[in-house]
Amino acid sequence: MNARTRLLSHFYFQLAFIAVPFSFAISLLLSLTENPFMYSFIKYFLYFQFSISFILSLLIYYFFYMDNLYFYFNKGISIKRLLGTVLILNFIVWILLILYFNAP
Amino acid sequence: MRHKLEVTGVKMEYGLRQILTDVYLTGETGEVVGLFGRNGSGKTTLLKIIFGSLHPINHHVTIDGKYFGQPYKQGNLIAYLPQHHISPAKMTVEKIIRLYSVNQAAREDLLKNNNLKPLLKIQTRDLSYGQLRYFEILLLVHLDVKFVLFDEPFSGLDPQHKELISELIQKLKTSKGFIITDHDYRNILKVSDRFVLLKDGYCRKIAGSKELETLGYLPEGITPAI
Repeated sequence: MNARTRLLSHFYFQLAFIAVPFSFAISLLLSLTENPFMYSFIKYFLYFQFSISFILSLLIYYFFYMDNLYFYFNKGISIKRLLGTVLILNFIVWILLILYFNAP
Repeated sequence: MRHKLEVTGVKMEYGLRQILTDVYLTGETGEVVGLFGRNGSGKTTLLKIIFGSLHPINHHVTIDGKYFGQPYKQGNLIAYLPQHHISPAKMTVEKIIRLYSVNQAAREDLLKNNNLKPLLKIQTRDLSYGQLRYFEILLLVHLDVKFVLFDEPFSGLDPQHKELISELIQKLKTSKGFIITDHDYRNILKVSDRFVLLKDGYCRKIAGSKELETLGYLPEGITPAI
């Protein structure tokens, strides 16, 4: 694994630390009003996991930790590439979660 | 082979305030360019434009005659150290070195550095400002790039670390070109081969410290003659 790939995967996991608890909390709040609880929780979690939480986390990271991004820029990794990595990796996680929850 | 960085026609404004009007700046591998300028004169803005992370109204950056809109995206041309820390806070110095180093030689060189050895197992958030600054400078100069832009590298460092950085720049300038800005003008005068003053939106070549006085960057009568 080269230095760029190592850095990109590091960035993704760093972002996951913000995004996963974030989507967990939103899913919990939304599913409290629904019945059955677990089904709606999983549904919302899967939805937020992919669609909103990672994008919001990236924006939070961009605006509050902008200087840290120079850590990545210096290795030739642009903000578009960071966003692309986040979307692709998160799509894979999303598919894996769906497959897991729909397994017989 | 000497590599040449050329920046021309940089224009930048924030709102109605024009910061850079028509900047021309060059740098070569083998030399250190000292960039002076008073607070708010646009030094940081200029370095970010050269690096490619800030988009001005107009600019033209070439390296060895080839145009680059955002040179940093090439990954092997230019590095930039901003005024603030860039290292992730919760990682140890050793982990960052292993994650960031381009090759085995650079990794070994950093891991065997006597000044870094006691810090290897410490998370960067637990380092002092000066220790972290020194570490980040070392990290960047070990990248495989032709030009390095330093924004206030001496800020917050003790005299020992300042001396180490000056020596490091002198040693590495054979293979890299440096553009350095800092208000520690004595160290900039010491390490630089060429001086430039950014004033009124454009760059002027400066012969020495006396001219910095004449042009109003330094108060009169305080500079050593260089």
